[in-house]
Amino acid sequence: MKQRMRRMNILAAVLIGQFAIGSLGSAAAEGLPLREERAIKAALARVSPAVVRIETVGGLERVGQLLVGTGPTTGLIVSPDGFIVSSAFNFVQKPDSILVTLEGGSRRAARLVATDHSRMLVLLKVDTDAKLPMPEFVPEGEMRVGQWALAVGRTFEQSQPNLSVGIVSAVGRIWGKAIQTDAKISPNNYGGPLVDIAGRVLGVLVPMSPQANAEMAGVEWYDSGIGFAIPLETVMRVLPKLAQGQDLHPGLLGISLKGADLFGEPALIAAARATGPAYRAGFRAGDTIVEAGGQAVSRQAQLKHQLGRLYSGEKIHVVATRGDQRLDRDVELAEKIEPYEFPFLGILPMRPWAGEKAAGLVVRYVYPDSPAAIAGIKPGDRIASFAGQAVEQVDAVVQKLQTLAPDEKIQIEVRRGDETLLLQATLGRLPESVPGELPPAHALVAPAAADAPPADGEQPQVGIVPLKVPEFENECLVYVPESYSPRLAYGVVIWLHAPGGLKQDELLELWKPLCEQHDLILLAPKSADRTKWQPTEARFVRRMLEDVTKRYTTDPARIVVHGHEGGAALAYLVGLAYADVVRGVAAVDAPLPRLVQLPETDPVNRLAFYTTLATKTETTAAVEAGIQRLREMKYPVTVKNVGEQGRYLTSEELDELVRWFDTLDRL
Amino acid sequence: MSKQPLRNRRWAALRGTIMKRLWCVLSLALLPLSAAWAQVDPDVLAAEAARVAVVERASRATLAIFANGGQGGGSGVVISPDGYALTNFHVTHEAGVAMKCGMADGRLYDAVIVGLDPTGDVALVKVLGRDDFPAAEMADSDLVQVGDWCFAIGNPFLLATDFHPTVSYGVISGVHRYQYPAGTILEYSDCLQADAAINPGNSGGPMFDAQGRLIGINGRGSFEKRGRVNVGVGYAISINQIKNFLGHLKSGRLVDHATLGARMRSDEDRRVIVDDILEESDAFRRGLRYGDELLSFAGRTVGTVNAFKNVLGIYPKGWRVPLSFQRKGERVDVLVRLRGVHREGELAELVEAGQKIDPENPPKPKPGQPPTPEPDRKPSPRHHAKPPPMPEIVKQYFVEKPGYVNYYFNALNRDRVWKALVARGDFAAWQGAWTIAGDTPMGEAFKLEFSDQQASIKLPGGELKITLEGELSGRLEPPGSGGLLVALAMWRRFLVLGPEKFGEVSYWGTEPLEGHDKLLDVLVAAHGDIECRFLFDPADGQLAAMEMISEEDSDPCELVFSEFKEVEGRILPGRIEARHGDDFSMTFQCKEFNFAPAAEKQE
Amino acid sequence: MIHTSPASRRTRPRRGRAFAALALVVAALGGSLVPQVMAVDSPTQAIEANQPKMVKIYGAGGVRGLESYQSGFLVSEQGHILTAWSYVLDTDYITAVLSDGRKFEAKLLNADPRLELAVLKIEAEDLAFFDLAASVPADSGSRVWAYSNLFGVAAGDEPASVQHGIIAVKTRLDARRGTFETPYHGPVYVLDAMTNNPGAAGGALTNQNGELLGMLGKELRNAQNNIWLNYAIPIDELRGSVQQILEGKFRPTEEQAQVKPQDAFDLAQLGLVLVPDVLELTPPYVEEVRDASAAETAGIRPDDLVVFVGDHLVHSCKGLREELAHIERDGKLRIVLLRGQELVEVEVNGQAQGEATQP
Repeated sequence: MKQRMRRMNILAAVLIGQFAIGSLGSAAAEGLPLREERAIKAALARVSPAVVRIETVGGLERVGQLLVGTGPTTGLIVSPDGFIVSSAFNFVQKPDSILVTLEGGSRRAARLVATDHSRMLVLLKVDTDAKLPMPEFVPEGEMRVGQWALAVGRTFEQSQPNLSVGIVSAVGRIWGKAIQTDAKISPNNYGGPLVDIAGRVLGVLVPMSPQANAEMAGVEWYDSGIGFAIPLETVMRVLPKLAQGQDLHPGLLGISLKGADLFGEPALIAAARATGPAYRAGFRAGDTIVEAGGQAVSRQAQLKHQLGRLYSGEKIHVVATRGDQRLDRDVELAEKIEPYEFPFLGILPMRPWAGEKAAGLVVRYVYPDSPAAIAGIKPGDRIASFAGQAVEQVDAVVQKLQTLAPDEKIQIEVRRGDETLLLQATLGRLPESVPGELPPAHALVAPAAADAPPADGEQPQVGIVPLKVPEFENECLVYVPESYSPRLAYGVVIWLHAPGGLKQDELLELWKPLCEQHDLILLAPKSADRTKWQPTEARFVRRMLEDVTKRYTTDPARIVVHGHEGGAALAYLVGLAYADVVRGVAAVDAPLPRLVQLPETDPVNRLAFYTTLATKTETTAAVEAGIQRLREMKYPVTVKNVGEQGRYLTSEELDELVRWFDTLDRL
Repeated sequence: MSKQPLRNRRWAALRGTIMKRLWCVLSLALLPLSAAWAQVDPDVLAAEAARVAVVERASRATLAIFANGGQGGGSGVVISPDGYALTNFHVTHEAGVAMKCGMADGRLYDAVIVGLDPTGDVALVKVLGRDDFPAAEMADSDLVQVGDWCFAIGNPFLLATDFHPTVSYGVISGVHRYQYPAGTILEYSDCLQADAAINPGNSGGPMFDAQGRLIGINGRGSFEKRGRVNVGVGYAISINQIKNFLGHLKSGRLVDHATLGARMRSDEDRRVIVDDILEESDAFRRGLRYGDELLSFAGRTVGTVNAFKNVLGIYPKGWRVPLSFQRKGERVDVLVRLRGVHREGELAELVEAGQKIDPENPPKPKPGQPPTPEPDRKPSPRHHAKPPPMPEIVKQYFVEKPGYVNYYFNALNRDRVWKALVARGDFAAWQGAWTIAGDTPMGEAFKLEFSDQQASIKLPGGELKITLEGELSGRLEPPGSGGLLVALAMWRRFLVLGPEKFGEVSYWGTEPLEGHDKLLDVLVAAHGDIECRFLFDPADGQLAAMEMISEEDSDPCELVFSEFKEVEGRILPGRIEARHGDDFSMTFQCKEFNFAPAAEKQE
Repeated sequence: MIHTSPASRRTRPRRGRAFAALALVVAALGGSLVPQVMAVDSPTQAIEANQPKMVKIYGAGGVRGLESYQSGFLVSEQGHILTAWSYVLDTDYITAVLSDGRKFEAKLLNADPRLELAVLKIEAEDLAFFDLAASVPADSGSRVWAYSNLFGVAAGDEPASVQHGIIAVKTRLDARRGTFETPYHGPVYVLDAMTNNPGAAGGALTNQNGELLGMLGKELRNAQNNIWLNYAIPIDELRGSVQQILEGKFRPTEEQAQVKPQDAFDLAQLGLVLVPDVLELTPPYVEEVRDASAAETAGIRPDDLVVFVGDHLVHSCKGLREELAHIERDGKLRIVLLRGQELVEVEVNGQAQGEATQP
């Protein structure tokens, strides 16, 4: 009896079981692709009413050298009473008026309510009596890599949204802020929604880049299969703030970390900005952050992930170790850190030959009236200890300075002949004037090397060295002094020619002697289009620089980008985008590009500027504005007045500029 | 009584699975889903869920590779639980011996270089610290068809800052694609073309089929249009090619690709014709001549020169592959040994020179010949900084030795092969002379005798004896045999002395052998002026064949061992076939074995 | 640090379970389901059937540093090939290579520059071909396959490259004046597949059943947002010309440049004075409205911002003048103004005499 019962059950089960398989097997019969296509179209139809077309009137035609779109862009309705979210990219041209067209075709004037500078979003508002259709959204926790991702815009046709289909490639990208998709994302759908196969919104499409935080960053990846969307869940969370017209900003701790290996190195604080929240909370240079936001931090990247998703004003719990001590604080992240001012002692160090017996820091030059001069330091002195830090190498002072600020009083132990002096100094600020004649930076003949690297092996190529890499069509010229020795560290001057192309012969005639005299390597990339530079060519410049610094011994403290006109504009972009390697920007006849973001001054990565100023040109105002912006951010700016009309430098002025290069390792 | 419970068990099992399925269907039907969700075709959702599951599994085996010090990087994929992983040569070239690998579990592992195939742009590395790594299952990439769905997984633009890889989805756009070496020695033959987004940083990462099985290693894209971003055309090295090279890569060597020693052209009737042939090549010795029409190569019909290059490109130097050609309407089938593309040491020079194989420095390629993407880069703040020290764990797995990428793995495999052999009987005790008697298939009695000093063969026709001092290449007796006696003596010498004492013995990799469906392990052993190659069957560790080469570009004397039997606790072949070229062939049915226990001391 | 919003708290468990359940289905039916679903997903048969219809075309260009190859496909059994009209065909010697590797010298029968199409003829018989007569509907979201020899990847008997994608939208290239610099202004399928590559022009676009939808267009940039456009011209647009060419009846009509009307609208005539045009894109604010002008009658006021003329958005004073110059001055003209946050629509009369009333 029991037996039979069981059989019955099984029979039933088998039937349904087969139905189960059948129903899936039937996919084969009817063709899953067709059914997926139907599902895709249905999803599009479902989200479509919430996708609006945005058009703008007025504003800029180009940003930097980049032509910005005047075409329609896309937005997504996020409240029935008329709030619409879109990509900040769509408004980079700062339009005078914004028009929104709803699916039905009815037009509304819109105003920009607030901007989210962390997610690169803007919130618009239109006035409406009718309730606007709200999209359904998918909580971040439910997203799965590999699920359908449909990108929707309304840029080609008013009546019909445009669609691109892919999958979710990753979540928690761009330091935890974005969904990544391989659907084709571009100005054709920035600001539109990324939706799932049910037509529910995953996120809002934006261009993004893990490196830069600007409206345009990441645009170069359009349609590459690398696209980003901000989870709508995030947007809904901050909507109330934005709706009140409150702009949102990334949250800052106000620290710099030691080393650049995000994945290899721990989050060791190299410098904590005195005005920054981390410092106020009690964290100091030398502390190692081991936990943030409840997550263990063993490498720098993990800290960036915790911080990345946070806004200024939000709190994060940070745990750090100092020796065997454990600090454990809540830190409220700041929107802005009072710009850090580079402290200045007022000396130039000698640059020893590799292998030269290093005993402290030998003073090469003392700036007149500088803290050092006042303290009584003289050329030839040997600094043995600095602010309580024993000095074996120049680096010791450099690193100590990073942790200090102007007006701080410090003690310096100096050896002069066989006497030892204990001097007091009050640190000052980096000078903007260029000293006159400078004594040589190193012994003219190489001293016997104590533990010098064998200078044999194949000497790297000197003289004129052409460089070329496949993924850039650009070419590049390098000049290495004939007298090059791997035992000396050479400064690198990146020359970015003015529109019209590189005049190689003139250039070499001008620079060969300078390179020989001042231990400089000249790096002269050529623009792909000889008539102008593209901002994207900054990458190329960096690649060339990396190749040179790989092959030759270079001095990280003296890497400068020097450009003329268009080249100077790019010089600014390169210097600011790659502040981790560039130490100086020398611009002739070009203003600081209006829309570039000025990064905070960084104690670890010093950056100084040199610009010419002509008093009666159409760019005069722009140049002055640029100088002011830089100085407000506490960057040292050396200004060279070249009279009424813009022009390149005379040989005297060039000599002075090269002297400026020569002083960039000032302390 | 004994049957009943068995059937019950069966039913129970069956019922179990059925109930599971039933439950799923019901749960599917009854789930309280959001309005939108409910309206989606359940099969579409099931397929999506299937894809999500496949992607999740495939992602676990994927690597984000960083050079030590965090500059540059690419992708890779683990292919065995003990951590062997594949990537591009041009990715490891950036990194050197030691690298760091991020995995989807969020952890960062150390890895060490194992072997390199610069021509094929493939590198084998070993990820360290676990013996239970999630590993990708390899598919048969020859079954991949145009239009099949595929996934590229990896770390484009180093976006995987949390080590969760980027997944991009697409279809196979072409198979058996041939991509010219774009100014570098990196040649992509027989590769897969896909429209799944492959960007700089995907280099070395896996291409999976819809079921999440590994079909290739992403290496190239057509980037010239927009500089550094995907434009819908990417290339993956087929996993089948890599399977051919895997044994060689594990040998810790710089592995060379193969050439036939003949150049082909296609004539007006689109036949593939021998246009030029090297007289030193094995193909020439096997009878291939100028003007012959190539019919099939390695079992594949070749309709174009590209197709020929495609087939050629997937084999390592030294392999023997079938080749069929036609002359005056007559078809000839032969087995040819492929020669190396590069001269001895030439490849090493190229790699040393760096520049030429540096994928970042090829000249601008011609249309249709895309460049290799460079591994994506990260800012490197400290210039002229010394490369960071090698991690301790890596030191344990790295032995530097001239001529090797990482000698550690060569020694490892040489010892593995030898241990497997002696596990079935150690010959060390039989230091004395060996005599083997029996008869040939024609019924002639033979007696072979060989020791450290001499070797002889006795046949009804008479006796031949050679001494084994000094130059052996001069004593290739019997005539035409290519040195049968020397070969037999070397066989004994190897078994008795083992790799340590025999001479310079190294692990070569794996090779096919007629009559064996699996690839065989190969040890190369040099003694005096001759070289021997010993082939071992991985199935039973048995020595299946050996080749004795007395001079370059000549046919070896081959011994094939079979019909193994146990003799005094050792396993010995009951049948030895000797071959040399196409002319000499002799078979010994071995009946009696006699071994002097210890070598009698020589005064 | 993601704070879960109420909404998400509501929905999470549901979808969570959905996924769990689906995953279980997979687990339960195991291997059997995954291949099943995926296998039917690859339309290999349709692709294999179409490959023989694809043609690799080689011609001029190489010397000029341009790619000298493109794609085409057979449209008749007797070797008629439809391809894109381009410089590649601008030579006496055009080579067509079929998918089986056969090489032919191709004759240029004729070309229709307005549609950027050309028809070639090779001397061959019994060829597989796409049937132009069949008209297949497709719209946003339709899955498509693109066949081409992009980057000249394939040579000899190697099959064309195949890419998947969907139709992003069906639109007209002239939907917005000056957006696309191309002689063809008609309807196109915009694609999310990256077909915008050297050598792809002239390739075939099919639906997932392998039925022909269109011909892949040339490399083309959108002048308004400066990005590359992937598109195909629907067969319905090409059919007519191709038929005529096949029948030898085709008479190439010269591309008539968009001529501005003799008697077009202009600001003075309407009695409109705009703010001084000083910026890159000066928004077209109304500075002054002449008494009794058409503009005044229509109710345009100072400080209004002109945003639409007809259906065309105007970005600037420049844009407004340009726009007016394109409109025949014979009837009424609809203008949309932004007044504060209000959008106001007015109609101006082309006939009204604005100038007459000027002081």
